[in-house]
Amino acid sequence: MSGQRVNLNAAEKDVEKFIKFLALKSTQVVVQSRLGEKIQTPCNPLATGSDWFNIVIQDHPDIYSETKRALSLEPGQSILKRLPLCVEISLRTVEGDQMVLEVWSLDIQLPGCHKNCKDDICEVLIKNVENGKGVAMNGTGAPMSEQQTLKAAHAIYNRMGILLKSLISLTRATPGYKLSRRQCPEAYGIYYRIYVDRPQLHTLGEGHKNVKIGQLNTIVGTLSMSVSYRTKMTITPTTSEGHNGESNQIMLKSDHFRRGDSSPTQNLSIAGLKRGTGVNGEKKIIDIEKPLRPGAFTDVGKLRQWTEKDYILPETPPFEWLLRRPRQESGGSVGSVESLNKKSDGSISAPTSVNGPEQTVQNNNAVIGNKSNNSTQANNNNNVIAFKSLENGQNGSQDKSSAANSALSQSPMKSLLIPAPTSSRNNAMKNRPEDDNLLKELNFPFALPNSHVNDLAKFYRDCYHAPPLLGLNETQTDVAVEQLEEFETSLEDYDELVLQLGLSTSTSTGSRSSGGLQMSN
Amino acid sequence: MNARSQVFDLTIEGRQVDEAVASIFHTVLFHRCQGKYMYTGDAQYSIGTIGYTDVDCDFIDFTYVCCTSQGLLRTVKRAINVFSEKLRSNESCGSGQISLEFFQKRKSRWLFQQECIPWEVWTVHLDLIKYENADDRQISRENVSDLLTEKVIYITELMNRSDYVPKTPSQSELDLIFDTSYPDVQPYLFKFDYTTAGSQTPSVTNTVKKIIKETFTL
Repeated sequence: MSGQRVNLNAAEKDVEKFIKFLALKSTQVVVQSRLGEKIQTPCNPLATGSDWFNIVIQDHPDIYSETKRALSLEPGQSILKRLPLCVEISLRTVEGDQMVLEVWSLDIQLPGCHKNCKDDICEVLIKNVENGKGVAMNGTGAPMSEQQTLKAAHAIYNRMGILLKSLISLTRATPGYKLSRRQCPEAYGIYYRIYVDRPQLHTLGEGHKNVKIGQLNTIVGTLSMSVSYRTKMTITPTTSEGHNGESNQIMLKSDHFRRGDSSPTQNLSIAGLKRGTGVNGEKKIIDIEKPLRPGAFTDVGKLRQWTEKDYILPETPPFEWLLRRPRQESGGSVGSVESLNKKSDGSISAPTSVNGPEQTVQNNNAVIGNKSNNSTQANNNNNVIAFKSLENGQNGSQDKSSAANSALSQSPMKSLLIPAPTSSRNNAMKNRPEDDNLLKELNFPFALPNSHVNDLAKFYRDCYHAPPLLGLNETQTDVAVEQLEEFETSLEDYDELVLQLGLSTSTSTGSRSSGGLQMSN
Repeated sequence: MNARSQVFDLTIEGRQVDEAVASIFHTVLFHRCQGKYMYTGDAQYSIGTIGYTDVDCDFIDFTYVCCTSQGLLRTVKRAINVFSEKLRSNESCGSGQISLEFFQKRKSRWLFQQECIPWEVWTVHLDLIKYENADDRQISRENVSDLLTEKVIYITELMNRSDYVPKTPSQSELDLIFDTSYPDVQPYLFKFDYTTAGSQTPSVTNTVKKIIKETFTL
């Protein structure tokens, strides 16, 4: 009996060794396939014993060392405890936007582990697949002769070879392969990350596909290889926690039919959050809703939120406040434009504080982006992680560290300012200065392209964006201030004029009447 | 014994036929090839290793993997070419199928011929389609690529099942299971078969039918 136990232990050790090399070769296959080059390896009929699983897979030293680092196996430590092993392939644009394309994983379900078992697969059987017979036994140590053990090991070895062939074939079939072949330093690069953890599939976006490449029953557990890949190739701008971490997580329903007295306050919350993160910092909000009660179809999100600060008169010439009254009458529209302009950065002018539904649409992706960053950072602590550029694979550790840093630290402000779901639209919107119009159109309820409501919406929009106010910016304010100063300096002249007029009316009615007569003549 | 049979249906352009069929068959063959067996004694042998090559398609947005074996490439290419030409000829009505059949031989007994027993058959059924403009052609190029991706996924799924494959025999019987004619790889015995609507391959049944018909017309 003890002889059989020794036998079994030896068989287990063999299988563990096979699994280790399968893991090493799998990462080689996956990462090499993303180098962007065609691969050709020669057949070798005279085997030397150096090629595992009878397949010629050349070892790339960088990939090998990264896999070793990820596994971080101590001498004598079983690889079973270091699974699942994942290879994450991601795309990163020159602008710093990142998108995870696929996650390849090698996992094992250990016998007796019932947590992850969906069926009775834990009663692991070794099948001698080669002859199709059920030469099998359970993993708990039922009798098995030495020859059977050898046969089982041989069968497992062959099956692993087939698994590896499947992996080679599949790596060329997923969308990530095409992208990797088209990569260029001017546009985007493909990166990889090897980690020991559960596959982080949330980074793949909605509608990602899961494909089980193969499953193999062994005496040490059920080995499975799978891939999950992104199907929607839309760049999700990476977000940084510092800028929009919390604000992106608020999904505000844009209810345009809500009563006017409740809408502004609700919108204040999101606007306040946005502004709180801006230059101005926190503001105390003044409730002046009555004069600003929005009408039907008014996009309350665009209304200017009046704050205490707005009522602190700036250091400008006196009587300026006299001119604020006409502005206040159409304050909603003015505020809207101002806030948009303030949020816009250079040529990018998409609104950030008032994109209720847009934000909701984008939010899934944005949150995903956040999560991915979070998880990436979290992972840094637990696992050995290597972001490596496949283009500059030979550059070694320098490139790796810079890539990793850029992945974590680069926080494109664009993520805040680009509400479009597609990359092409992103580009289009970047170049369009009047994107706020588009967003507003989307914000109107029932505003389908052919709907009549759209006309009404357009009408309201035009009303709220009266031409003189659309162009209101800092320079115009300066002009107004200059005018005011001019008026103030010539105030005495005006007074004199008034006095003269007053005098002329009281003292010399005759001359005035004559003047009038002269004019009429 | 019943052979496992898989059928893939594709509707593609005539010029895509060769590549579409090759991508499916080479993926299958890659899995069904082993390294060359080198015998040191009757019972002892070492197994060679298989190299692989990426092949880019010209008319489909797709890359497939095949064994790095010029001999095998030639065999597959020739078989597919013959079928493709028939399918695309004027006699054809644009529909046909080609099969890759794996079989094993039984030892010939005294009077009888050697028996071939198929154990796995992969069939690609094709319908040809013509596109009038470049846009449609481009869409088709991408669609066929997606279809082939699905097929490859399906093939790998099947390959990793614990299905029957012939047992490795002793050296003397190796030729009954494997095609040992290639110097670099050792695939399981396989052959191609095809039919195209409108131009059937001559067979005994067809010939007999033809003779009977001719007799009646006389």
